[in-house]
Amino acid sequence: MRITHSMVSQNINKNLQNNLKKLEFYGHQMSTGKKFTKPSHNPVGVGRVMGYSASIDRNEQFRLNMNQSRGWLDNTEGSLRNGLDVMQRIRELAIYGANDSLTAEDRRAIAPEVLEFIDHLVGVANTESNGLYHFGGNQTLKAPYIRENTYNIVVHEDSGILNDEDHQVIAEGMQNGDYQLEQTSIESAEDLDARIEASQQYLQGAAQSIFGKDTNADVDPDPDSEFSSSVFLEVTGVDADSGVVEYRYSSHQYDLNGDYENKEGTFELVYGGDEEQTVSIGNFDVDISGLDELDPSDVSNLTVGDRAIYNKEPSRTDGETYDQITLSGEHRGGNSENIYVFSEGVLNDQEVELHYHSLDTFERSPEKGAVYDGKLSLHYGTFEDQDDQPASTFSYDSAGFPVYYGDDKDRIQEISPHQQVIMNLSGKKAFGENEQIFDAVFEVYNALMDDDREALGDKALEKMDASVNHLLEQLAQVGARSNRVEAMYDTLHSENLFLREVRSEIEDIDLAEVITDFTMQENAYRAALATAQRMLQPTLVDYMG
Amino acid sequence: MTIFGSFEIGRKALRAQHKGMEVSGQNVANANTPGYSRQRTNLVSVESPIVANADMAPGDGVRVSHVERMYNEFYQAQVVNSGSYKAYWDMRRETSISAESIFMEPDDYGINKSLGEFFDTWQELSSSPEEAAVRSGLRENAVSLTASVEDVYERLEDMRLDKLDELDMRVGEANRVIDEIGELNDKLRFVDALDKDSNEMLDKLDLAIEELSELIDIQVYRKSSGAVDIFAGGQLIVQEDRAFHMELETAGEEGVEVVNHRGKALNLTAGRITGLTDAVNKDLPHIQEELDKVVEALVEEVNGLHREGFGLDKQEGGIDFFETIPEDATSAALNFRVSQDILDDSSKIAASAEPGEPGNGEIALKIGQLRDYREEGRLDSVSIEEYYRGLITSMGVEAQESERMAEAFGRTKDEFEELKSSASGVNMDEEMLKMTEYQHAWNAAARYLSTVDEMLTSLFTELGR
Repeated sequence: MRITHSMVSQNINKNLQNNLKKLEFYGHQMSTGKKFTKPSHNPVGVGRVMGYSASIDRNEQFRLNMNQSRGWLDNTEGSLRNGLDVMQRIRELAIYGANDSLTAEDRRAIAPEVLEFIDHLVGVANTESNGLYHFGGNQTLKAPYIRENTYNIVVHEDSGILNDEDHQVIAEGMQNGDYQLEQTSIESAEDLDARIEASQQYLQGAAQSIFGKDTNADVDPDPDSEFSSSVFLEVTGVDADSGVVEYRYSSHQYDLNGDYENKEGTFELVYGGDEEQTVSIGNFDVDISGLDELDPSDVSNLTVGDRAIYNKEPSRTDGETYDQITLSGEHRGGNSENIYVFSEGVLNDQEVELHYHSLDTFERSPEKGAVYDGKLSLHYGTFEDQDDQPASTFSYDSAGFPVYYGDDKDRIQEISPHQQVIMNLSGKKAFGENEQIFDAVFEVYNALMDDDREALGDKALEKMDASVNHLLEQLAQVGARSNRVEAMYDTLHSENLFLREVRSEIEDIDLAEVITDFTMQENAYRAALATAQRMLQPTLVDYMG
Repeated sequence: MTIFGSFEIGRKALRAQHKGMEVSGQNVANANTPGYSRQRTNLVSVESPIVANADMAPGDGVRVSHVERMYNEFYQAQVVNSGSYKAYWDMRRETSISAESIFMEPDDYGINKSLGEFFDTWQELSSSPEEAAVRSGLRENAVSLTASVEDVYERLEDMRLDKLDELDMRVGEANRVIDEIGELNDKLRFVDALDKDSNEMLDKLDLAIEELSELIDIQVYRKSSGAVDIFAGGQLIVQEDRAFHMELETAGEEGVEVVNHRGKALNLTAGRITGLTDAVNKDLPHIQEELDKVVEALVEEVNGLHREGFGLDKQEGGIDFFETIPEDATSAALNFRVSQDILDDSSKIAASAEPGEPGNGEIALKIGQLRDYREEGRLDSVSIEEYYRGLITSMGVEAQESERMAEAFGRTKDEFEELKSSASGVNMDEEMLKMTEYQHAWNAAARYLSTVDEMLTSLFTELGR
């Protein structure tokens, strides 16, 4: 083939280009540390590197997430341990309280200490970190356990208006006394209806005891009355020999305007006497049947001071808007003895006027046996703000039973692409259904307050033991989960090390190899330059002339 | 032959050697001229007229039969052909390399990273749905994901429009070249009629053909005069002195095609112009469509789950996370936006599966798990991320392929150019030798003339004395 000078120079140029390109290629690899930086350098490699990078980032995210579940589980575990310690202390106090040598005062003196522990326990159940309550299930933004019946009822002495802590009017015309209302947030008329049923059942139970066991004696004051009425009965004397029982009564009859007529008096019943006895109570006569079937000695079931209240719901035709309800009050963590009797007249959609007749039967009440009558208004929903009213605080402190307001949901966290872990423990699981743990400690508290030595040594202790076992079980479960998360944390770490290694194998250069290649290429380039120099210089022109 | 005839031989010799010298000079002068083919002086001896009873005649000297253009038609055709393909693949390579650099993969700024972070933040939200910081982090990540997708899409569109501009320009360039070819054809016909050498014109014509072949693939039919008729894509575009201009016409929805003066489409397969129409009609729209598919799937899946969930603020559900892509939208990627509700209030992000459960992150978890979700028949039955990575890989393969093809055709073209220049190129040594030869011959012819002159002088002076 004929070779021309321009061919020579073009070829030299081309070869130099090629050499330089390769040199640049290795130089680029050396300076970036990567075998390729663009998809076209190695399409499949880039695809795989992208995949591995995504997996690595994802695992990092899992590990970050896991820090949170680890925190939660650790916190939960800590809280449960804390709770267990408290339970042990309360249990010790219960055992101490069950000691025969203690007096009622001694026992009552222990109660405040138990209450302190209860407070602490409620605090544990309401553990929060970073603004999130751990034991609320998915309800993490509010405290899961709210202590109910802790209404510090305030009676304005001059106005007789009953307020709760938020100065919402609960009732007017109340007298200062040692009781408190069960639930004051009545939001609709339906709420009132539900209460009527509940309280009537309660009274039926009382009816049996006031006339002795197994009587079917019944009191029905004024069966046809359109008006509501109530009768309060109290046993004032018992003669077991003759079977004569003396009663005191106080009866109220209400009209639609809420005015009432009050009559008081006494009567006697003879057990095992005539077939039927009729007694006059207030405005009406009452037939008492079934007394003849009894033996005079049955009156021994009755003691002076036994009381009962009978309520009469007015016979109504549909569409009338008045009603009578009874609210029962509660004292000190749930053992109810107080009875409120209310007659109701619905005034409008927002407000209802109630007439009450209440008897304080609570054992530790200084006013035990006192009867209160009056009239009060309840408002549905919103209450008028009575901020400017001077307040005086109600006398009893309530222990306040904590009621669970969270849910039973699991908070699930993904800790690897295919594994999930429950990072929380709902209050329902941790502290038991129906507030099992708190029920147990209140059992202890109430028993101490009530001087119930037997319950302390028996029922309360039993409940305490069951509760401690429950806590231990939950603790074991949380511990197991915590271990699982720890293990996965380490697994992901080593998986990421592996993934990084694989990715590096695909995309990272072997520096020694690249340096060798680079040096060789450099030599080739130098050689090409030297050759070019010598090839381009001479032509025949230089040697002629 | 008379002695005066001997003068004639010398004169012819001087002229022929001078011509040879001239041609060498032309060769040396054009040693570096692109498209120049070296020329060779063809000398022939002139025979004596055949006359009866004449002496033994040595012939009547020398003459230049013609100045020959040294070139190889076959190699020239191969250069033209491979030039078309090289230009085509060069264009493809340019397109795919620009496209892949728009995606910025596998760097930390690409969509792959944004998409990963997007899913990661959902994951994070699933375990802390109450945290405002995670919520706004998610919102920001989503916004940056939509922005980077939209940015990539817009840049692809800009690139497509640039290519369209270039295409327009290149078609104009091709028209200018065929005009030039037409003019050269005309001149060649004229020169041919005069029976003159037309070497420089042929060089120019070949150069123009090469230039044209880099724009479109052509078939060249050469006539005896050296003039050419040219077909492109089955249509005649140059016939003798007439050049038929090509035009750009819209075809299909957004596409364009090159048509001849009668509006008939040219069925082109190579050349830079074909590379450009491919980029404008197929390559870039295809990438855009793939991106749209990814966005559509993502919006549909995320919204589908998100609508089932509930935000932190109130008990409201049924909110879209991304704005729904309108039915008549030309591109999903261009309408890829985080919904206004979420932008206004990150507590509306529906992490929870139940209303009023701030600690519930079930929906967030499900959305986080979407990254592994494969739906049979959609996106080739792979996950969204995998599909996107597949897109990058196939773009890489495309770029690699066009690089390789461009390289291969470049090599072929170089090879043929070399072979061509082996025939047509100027070799200095050769020209020096030729010059020396002609110089010596010229010198000898001059000496011959002076000798003949001396002879004549001696004849006149000696005889006349």
